[in-house]
Amino acid sequence: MSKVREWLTAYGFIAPAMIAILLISVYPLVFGVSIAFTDMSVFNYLSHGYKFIGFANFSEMLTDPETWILTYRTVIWTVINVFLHVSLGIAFAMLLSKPWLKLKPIFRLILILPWAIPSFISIQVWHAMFNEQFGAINQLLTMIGFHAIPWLTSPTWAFLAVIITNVWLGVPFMMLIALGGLNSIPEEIQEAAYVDGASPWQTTRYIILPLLLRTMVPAIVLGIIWTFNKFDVIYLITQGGPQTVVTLAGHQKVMGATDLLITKIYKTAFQYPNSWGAASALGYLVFLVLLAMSLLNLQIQNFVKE
Amino acid sequence: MALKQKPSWFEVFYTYALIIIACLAVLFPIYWIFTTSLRPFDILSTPKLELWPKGATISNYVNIFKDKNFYMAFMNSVKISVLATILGVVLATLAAYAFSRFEFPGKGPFYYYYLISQMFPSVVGLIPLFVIFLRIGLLSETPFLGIARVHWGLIIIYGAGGLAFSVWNMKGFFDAIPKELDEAAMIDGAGSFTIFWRIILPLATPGIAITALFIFMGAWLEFVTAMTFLSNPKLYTLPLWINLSISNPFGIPWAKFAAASLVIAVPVTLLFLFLQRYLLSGLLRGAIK
Repeated sequence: MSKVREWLTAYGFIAPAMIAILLISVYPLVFGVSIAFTDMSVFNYLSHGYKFIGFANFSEMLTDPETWILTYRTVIWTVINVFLHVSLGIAFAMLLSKPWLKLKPIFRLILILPWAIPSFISIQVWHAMFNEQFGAINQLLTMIGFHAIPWLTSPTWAFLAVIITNVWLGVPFMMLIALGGLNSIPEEIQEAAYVDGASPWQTTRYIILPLLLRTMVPAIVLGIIWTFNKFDVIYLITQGGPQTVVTLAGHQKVMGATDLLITKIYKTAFQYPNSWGAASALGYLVFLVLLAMSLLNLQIQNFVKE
Repeated sequence: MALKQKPSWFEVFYTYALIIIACLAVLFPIYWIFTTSLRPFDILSTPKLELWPKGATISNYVNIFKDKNFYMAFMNSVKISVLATILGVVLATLAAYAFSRFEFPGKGPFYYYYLISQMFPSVVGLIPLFVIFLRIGLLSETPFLGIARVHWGLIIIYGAGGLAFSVWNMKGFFDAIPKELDEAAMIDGAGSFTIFWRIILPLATPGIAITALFIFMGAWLEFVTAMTFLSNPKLYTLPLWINLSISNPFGIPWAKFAAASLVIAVPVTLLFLFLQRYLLSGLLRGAIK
């Protein structure tokens, strides 16, 4: 087959998928940029009453202290979650890899269940379990002599509740990635370390762990992106609440104690004030932050390889 | 891990202890939802945790299937998920074949596209999609070919939205089929599409089945898009029906919620457990090489 013919054949096979991607992903992405420069909202869209307002959405967003509180909170949320996902994932992968462990397939099956259950359902179950009066968690706590915890009404406890849920959901994925990574590390390396007199702890700490982390980098980058944009856990359990009054630069403001950037974007667009322009502007901020982070990571990886 | 060292009793103890604690943490919510689904009262009014509910009954399961709204949501979800799956599989299979077999300009950037598409918050993409669909009438409830236009909108989003992943996944299956087969057929005078349709596709059936199931499961309990696009309860999908039924101001019907959740989740969970190794092989392939 000539080169040009090969290209044309390939494009023929790809065309339907490309058209779909252009229509569903790329065009909205570009169109979304233009929305961010308007005051478009659900009220003025149909009457074409919206207009171009330049960088007003962006300047308003960047000068609103709430944006920075949400950014800070989203970063904290991502760091805590990804750290726990990765460290617990690796820990349980290592425990499950011990050659003398009995019932391995059963333990493995149980431990990946949170990943297999549709997350919409498990999030709703956690939501129900955090119910202050009738939730299973407070029932368990009072049974063993603790006080009931105001899971969904106290800002701090609510944040802890969504973190607990998200950790429960996210560890199995990292554990499976770590298990795959452990399998890919040749046994000779461990044997060589053993022959050289390294203790099991030293072998794990200085040989297995660095090799394992390197194989896990793509999964960890994806994990960071997913966690940064995690919407359903927050939205279904706390809806971003409970509402708290925050004093920002001398002004009192009511904001959700567990809102993240992503839930704020959704609320801005589809609840009061239904402002598509402002929500899009905030969305592109998130996109740029993640893009910059990923490019930085790519650079670091290339640097390490060389 | 082939070193034949005998573990110390302490190592054995903490290994089993930690694994069992983790298993309990995983199983507790599942145990709770199961026992709740057997509760005889429709409102979770027991302030105490019971190991096994008094008067356990399967009536909640029976009632679910008698509930007209549940049935309607169930049929809506089936319809949307099945059509989205067909759409997604056709698009992904064709594209993945090209990525597996041909060299062409623009092949490289597609891989970056996958990562970038993950970074763009799907919630943000919803805004322009909402506006575009509103403009072209895909948010309206009037039927087209017997299916509400807004359902077609969801079918397109669910079918085409995860294409980057489906193509990536499907390509792995095509890569495993020897290229010599294509070459032999080409020498016999078969065209590219004939080779794809007659020779490669039948061999890739397991891959197609797996890709199809992933698309189906993605659509089955999708929540955010459905919540944003659907306003008429008659057109609701299963997750929206669940959300509506547990936002009952007169007390959440926990037992009903629990039974419905299990009915909806158990088949999908079993499928997923069966399929997860295929899902991971793609990510690991990328990771190890």
